[in-house]
Amino acid sequence: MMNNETVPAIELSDVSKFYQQGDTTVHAVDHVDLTLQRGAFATLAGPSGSGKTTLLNLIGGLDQPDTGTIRIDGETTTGLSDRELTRLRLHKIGFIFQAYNLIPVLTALENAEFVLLLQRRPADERQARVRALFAELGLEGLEHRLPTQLSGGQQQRVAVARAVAPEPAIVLADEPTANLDSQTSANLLEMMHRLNREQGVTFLFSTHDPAVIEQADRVIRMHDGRIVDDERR
Amino acid sequence: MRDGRWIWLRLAWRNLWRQKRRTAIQLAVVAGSVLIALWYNNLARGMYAAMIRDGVRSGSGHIGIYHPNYLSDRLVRQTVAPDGLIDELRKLDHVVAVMPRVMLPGVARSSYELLPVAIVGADLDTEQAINPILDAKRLVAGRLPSPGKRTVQAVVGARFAERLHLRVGSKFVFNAQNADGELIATAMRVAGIVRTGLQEIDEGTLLVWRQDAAKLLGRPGHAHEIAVLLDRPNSIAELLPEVQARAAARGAKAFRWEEAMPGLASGIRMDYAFLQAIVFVIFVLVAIGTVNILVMAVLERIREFGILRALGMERRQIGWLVLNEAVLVSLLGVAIGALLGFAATWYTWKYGIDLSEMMGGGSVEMEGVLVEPIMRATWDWAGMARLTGVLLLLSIAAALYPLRLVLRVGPADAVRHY
Repeated sequence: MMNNETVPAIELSDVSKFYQQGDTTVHAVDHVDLTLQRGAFATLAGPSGSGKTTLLNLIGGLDQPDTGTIRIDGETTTGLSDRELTRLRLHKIGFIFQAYNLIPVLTALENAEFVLLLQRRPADERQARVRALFAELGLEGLEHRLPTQLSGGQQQRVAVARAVAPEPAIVLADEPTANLDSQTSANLLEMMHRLNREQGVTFLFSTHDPAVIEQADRVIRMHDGRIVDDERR
Repeated sequence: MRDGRWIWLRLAWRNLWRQKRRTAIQLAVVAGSVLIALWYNNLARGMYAAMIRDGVRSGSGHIGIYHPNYLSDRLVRQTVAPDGLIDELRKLDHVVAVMPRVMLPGVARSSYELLPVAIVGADLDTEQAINPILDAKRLVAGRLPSPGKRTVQAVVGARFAERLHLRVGSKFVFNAQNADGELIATAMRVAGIVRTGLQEIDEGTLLVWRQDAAKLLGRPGHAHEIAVLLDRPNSIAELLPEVQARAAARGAKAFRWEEAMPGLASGIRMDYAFLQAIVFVIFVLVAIGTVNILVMAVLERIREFGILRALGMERRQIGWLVLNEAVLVSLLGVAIGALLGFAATWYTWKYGIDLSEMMGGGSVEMEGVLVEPIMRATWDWAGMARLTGVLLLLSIAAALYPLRLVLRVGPADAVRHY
């Protein structure tokens, strides 16, 4: 039996996803093999339409591949029922989206502890974990603000707190800096990198932002649904 | 949210107030429909109760006793000989009054005109206290006659008096065929004049003492109708077998008011059917309105539902969240509507709506019954509970279609939805 530490966070084997557009079959993800170890800070880079978001959705269990197998933290997700996939997302995957990430009617603190609440963690544990993350991410004093009362950068930091709070096997971030100015992007990226280094959180981004790509310790480049380059730094 | 147990309810509550105007409209739709349904139902029920109350007082009573074939044939010879029945009935529990009546159709003429009329012979002292036709405010001239006068004295309708050019104290002649088929003619004197607004009364009815009418009929002591007035309509079922047995012992038959006055009963039934149609339309409008509002509310949150799914919320939990929102807004709307319905019912129960000016003064005729022109609501608790329950369920059920829309969208599609 493999040691938990040695189990890759993500293993993709011959994964494809096709879409039918009229008479044409679009190969959104085309026979992709990929392994990402725990503790990685990796990015999926490539132009729009290269298949980054589709691949993230497949890894995150939001969608099912047409071919191949996906394993998250050693668990095969291919063929799982909708309910099983939901449980997998709840316990093993954190998500950060491009924008409008937060639940508008919940405060920053409530948004950040939402997944812990779904996991039925005790209130004290939830509060302690989220408050520690707020301190780490510079969100102290903003706990009771609604998303509309936060700047774009603050909202994304709350989304990061929510994603990492349950200590998932991997955090998937789909263009997390796309709607932020360069300074805010750099700050957000720095905070995520620190969480990666200090708490061992595994991150996989999709981006075409050179600043994000610059920070990554592994850059996986995609084009037309295929991995065309895999650079480790 | 230190306590996670009520998370769905709290999320639903907060979601309701995201779009205050839309929630207010939805509340107004639900509350307004509950208000209208409850109030309209209680007003209509109040009107039916008034029609029955006044109908049984001027007509058959809650229970009417007749010759077994009188209601179908209406022959003057089909009489009942009470023989102590009236006193027996008066002693029964729940009996408020017993009003025996003699009916004798004929013609009345003066030197000016001849009109078909019907004599109603009654115990005028008892009737005056009960029968709305003899209400003091309708007696526009003269007074009630005294019994046992040599010349039969009658209370006549105002229209009758006008057409025959009669005043209080004037004489006219009444011709008819008595119970033995013989022609009779008698002079009568006008003792009083009533104006009811009912043509049948104002032009075609002569009210005389029962013994005078029975003498003209040729059957002293007999009556065509014995109207038994009870303390409340619900006493009919309890009392009918007893009355029936006593009537049968004298060769007569007791009928519920619905059988004795089928026109009034069917009129109320038709009106009730119309009421139900209106309520059905309200139900449809509520369903359409609520579905429409909820569809708008969920469609603009598709991406949010996608994010919730991505975070690990199960499909059924999303459904539960939307259902909680629908239940909350429905409960709130129904509660507001019920309160307003109570208030409106209370006001119209206590003060009524005076329609006399709209109706040109006087009384209103409904299904041949003289009804006060003041609409008063009644407290139909069972109907209120039923209507409120149905509207609540309908309002919640309206969430099922938008719920289906939400649950059909996969999480990958939903998070791409802006």
